[in-house]
Amino acid sequence: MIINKRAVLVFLLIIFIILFPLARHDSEDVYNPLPVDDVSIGYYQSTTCNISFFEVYFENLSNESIQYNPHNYAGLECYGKITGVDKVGDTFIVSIGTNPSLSFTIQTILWSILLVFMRKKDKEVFKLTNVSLVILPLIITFQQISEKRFYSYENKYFNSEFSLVNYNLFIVFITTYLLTLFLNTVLKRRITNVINYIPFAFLLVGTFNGFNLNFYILILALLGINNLMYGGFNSRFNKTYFLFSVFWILGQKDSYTFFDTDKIRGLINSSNNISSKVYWILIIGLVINGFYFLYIKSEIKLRLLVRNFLVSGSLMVVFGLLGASSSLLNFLNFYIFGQNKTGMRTFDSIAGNTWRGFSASAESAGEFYGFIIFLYFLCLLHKKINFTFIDGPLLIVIMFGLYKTNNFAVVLSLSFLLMAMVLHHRFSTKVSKRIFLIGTISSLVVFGLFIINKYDYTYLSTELLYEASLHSNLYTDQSNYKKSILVTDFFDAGDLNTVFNIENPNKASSTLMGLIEIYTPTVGIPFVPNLVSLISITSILINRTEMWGIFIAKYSPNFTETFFGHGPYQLNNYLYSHEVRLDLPEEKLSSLFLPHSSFADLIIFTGIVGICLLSFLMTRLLLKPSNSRYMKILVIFLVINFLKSDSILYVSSLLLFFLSTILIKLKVDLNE
Amino acid sequence: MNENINNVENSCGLAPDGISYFDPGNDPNFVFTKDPSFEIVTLYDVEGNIANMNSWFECAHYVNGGWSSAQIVNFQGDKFLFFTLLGVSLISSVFYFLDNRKKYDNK
Repeated sequence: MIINKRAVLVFLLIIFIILFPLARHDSEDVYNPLPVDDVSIGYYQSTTCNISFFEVYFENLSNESIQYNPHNYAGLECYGKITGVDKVGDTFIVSIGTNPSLSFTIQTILWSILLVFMRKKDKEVFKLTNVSLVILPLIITFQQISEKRFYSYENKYFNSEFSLVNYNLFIVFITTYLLTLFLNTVLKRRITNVINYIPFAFLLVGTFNGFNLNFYILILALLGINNLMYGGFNSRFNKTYFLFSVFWILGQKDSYTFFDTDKIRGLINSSNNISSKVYWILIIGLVINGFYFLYIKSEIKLRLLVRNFLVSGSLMVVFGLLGASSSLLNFLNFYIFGQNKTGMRTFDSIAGNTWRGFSASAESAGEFYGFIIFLYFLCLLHKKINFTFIDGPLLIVIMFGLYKTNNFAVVLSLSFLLMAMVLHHRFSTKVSKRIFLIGTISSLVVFGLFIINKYDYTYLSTELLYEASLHSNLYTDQSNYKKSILVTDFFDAGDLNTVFNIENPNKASSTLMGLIEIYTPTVGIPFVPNLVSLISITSILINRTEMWGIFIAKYSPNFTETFFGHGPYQLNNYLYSHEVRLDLPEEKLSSLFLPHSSFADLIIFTGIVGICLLSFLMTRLLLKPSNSRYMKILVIFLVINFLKSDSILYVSSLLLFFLSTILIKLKVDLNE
Repeated sequence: MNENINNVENSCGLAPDGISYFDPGNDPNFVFTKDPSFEIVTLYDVEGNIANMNSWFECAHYVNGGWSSAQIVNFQGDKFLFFTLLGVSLISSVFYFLDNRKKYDNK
């Protein structure tokens, strides 16, 4: 058997980088690990930063009531060591020091090394610009200052002052510089192949511990700088983006609101000030340029891509299950794969988010599994890949993953589109496009009539507005119960004017008021369904009425924000600027309520103008002739599912969507 | 003495009504009584040891013995990491630019 010595060395290096910080201890110290119980809590609290994680773990192998949690606000001397033990209920929470400065360095080294395993060309394909060696570290260091509230909570070394002894800022700068140096070296022979490894973004999440930063965002920003340096500066996108940036910066009102980033850490603006907005405008602009650069340079190798999808998807299931079964692996998953939050700890489907950790939401995990299954059968049907025996078990594991995500929408859309695909493939020569189109529209009309017949039309068309009203801050002197009775009475009587304009003036969000105006037009066009009614009916059909109702109640943009949005990945104003009174049980009130639609997310970020432009681009992409037009169905599958999920907020889902669009445009290389 | 009072107040807060500090001396039978109304304070000594105080009196006694609520940082981790990274980046840069130069010369 031939063993690649370099691969073995790299593997050993990775193991050392992972394990050494968690296992190191002074053999001459007097602090011994004890079994974690009620008695030893005090001992651990008074011997902090002396006992290593592995010492405690191996001392407590049989103790199943221990949970290991990362503790970021600890110094370097505490890295990988116990920083405290607490008891919550019957569970002992053992905190492990994971200082963000050192984590950033370790995770950067670890993930960079993995890039070496990507297939490379014999010759240099492209020389990346050395300008990025300065620009990228400067931008990333600037983020520390611009989001100082976030970093001051996370890192005890954080200091926003510019001084020569502010080592933390220099650490961020130098680590990013080293990463850029490494990427410039590694990518010049691998840039064409990067695209084929995107599936692994779901396994290796890449969010730096204690940072609001993601590894893939760094890589894309680097490629974006290259795109700009090599003539991409004057593109139509960059001109339009510049115009949007002007509106975003001019519309910025500094506010003390702060979003702790929660499960979307790494791709969200935590602060609400001008400098954080500038940072996110810069980084997202670079990321989009990076996507474009990758698109130009990419060479899709379909067999490799499908294999990587199968391996990544099944590993995600396996590691997810291992993390749920072992507290050690749960912690290691978080640390090694750069998860936004520690993974699930039970096997129940609905415990927290099903695949939390590897995926920020069960929805995006479901979309990923559905995408893999869809891509596999699509390629098989079009004879682009051959079935191999290893595919079977991998597909079964992925199907199990999809089942555990409880994502009914994915299963439904996957079944429907797969069926349509097979029928189209089988009968495309016998059935004309016109007949196919007429058949689809007729089916939709019949389905619509069935739904309207089953439910009352007025109920269907006003349900979304009603739900939004329930969550609005109306009748401030009344209880939620009384408020809901009053709102219900007025909706039953069809008197929306009284409830919003007479009894509760200026209480409803501008979105709700705008939708009410659209719903009650002065001139009605016969046989054309009202836009609000359509959205309302859709929301009922896909079980999104409550979430979209909350979005409508909360989102209250002014004139400029309505048209141009709040800026890239800025949710602060949406979350905190308009007062609402959610009609939900007490325990749910402190939860994070995202819009539950990537369409709504994009409206918040880019406004109506942005969403119109993006819709136009998407329609053009789908209508344009292409080399692999059958791949368009994958984009349609993702668009349908993104409409009801916040997947655009997750780096891995964003990369998946980007990959699906590249699959349409690029000539696929089958001769690998 | 004033300095000690200041130190005690800084670390333990103001003395509760009716309690004043006296030196318990070396009495081996002396037991610090837990005060349920006292919010536990963590103190550190110069070696980095930690002790949780359960009453103002106990806290004052430890502070008079040299303990403090401010953790004395002996190890400047960020400084250590910075200089390590600086060294690595200097060496890497030399290799990177020499390699670039060599390829440029070959062309």
